[in-house]
Amino acid sequence: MPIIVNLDVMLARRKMTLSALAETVNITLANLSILKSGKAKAVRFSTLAAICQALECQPGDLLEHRPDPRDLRSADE
Amino acid sequence: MAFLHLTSLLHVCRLLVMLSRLGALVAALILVFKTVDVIAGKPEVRLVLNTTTPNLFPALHDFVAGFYDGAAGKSHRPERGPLPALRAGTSGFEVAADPQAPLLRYEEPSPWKRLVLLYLGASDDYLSLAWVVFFGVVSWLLHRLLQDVKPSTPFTLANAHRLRILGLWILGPIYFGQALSYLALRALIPDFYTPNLAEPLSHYVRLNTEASLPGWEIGLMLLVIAAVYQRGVELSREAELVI
Repeated sequence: MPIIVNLDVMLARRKMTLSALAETVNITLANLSILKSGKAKAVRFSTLAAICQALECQPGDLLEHRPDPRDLRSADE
Repeated sequence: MAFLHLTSLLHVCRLLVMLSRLGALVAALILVFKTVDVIAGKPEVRLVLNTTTPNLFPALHDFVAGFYDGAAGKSHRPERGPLPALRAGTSGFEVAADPQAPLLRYEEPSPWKRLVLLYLGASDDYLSLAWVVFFGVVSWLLHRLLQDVKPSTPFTLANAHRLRILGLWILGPIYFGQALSYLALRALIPDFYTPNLAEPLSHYVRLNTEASLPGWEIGLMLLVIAAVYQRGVELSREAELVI
């Protein structure tokens, strides 16, 4: 997956724990762990908005597009 | 309609599957008793005939016959074909007029041949080895399938697999096995000829599995349901990873 979730970086910057964030945005710790570990397939806009509000950041601070060189090659072809 | 709710349906289906497992056990026991009876009993064999079409690939036979009849300008054939003339058992066999269907009666000295005829489903009204095995396997698979289905997790990969096995079981051993059974039947029954029919009577003997076992349509439908079910499993797994 070329989308990298930088949730752990933002949590460290805001000095916030995953449990505290889970409590603030009203998401289960298990779901937040799935998001943090990059196993999530999709994120709802409502979830993203709630996390951005809690961490006082922009979606771009949380998500990063890092394409695989092989994907770029196949797109050129 | 509360009875159509998933939980209510599961309760009803579990009860029915439990009864069908019991039925499969009883059928297996009856088959054992019939086995002993056939080996030690009278040598007489009674087989049901359908003289409209030969027993192997009847649909294909009807299609070809209809094509030639149409080309020759003949009218539609009657539902029941020419019944063989009744005759006494002078040539070792007898064709008896039954209200439902004509019967072929003859004496089979070999108990093993009589046993194979019973197991193939030729000499009994409903019992056959395929029927007993089918009921056993199906009731067991349905039992496992219903045990796995929970209102919270209705889709599981194991159940998709079980549905596919069920479909393949009906398509393969049951449907194509029946064609092989008819070939075996032709080899087992002596060639008795009657004036009205070109082929020997063994080509018109019918197995009870034609009515008691599901056809290829059910197998194909189960394979489609299994594929849809598997897609449901994949979608529910993906949905679990949407945060």
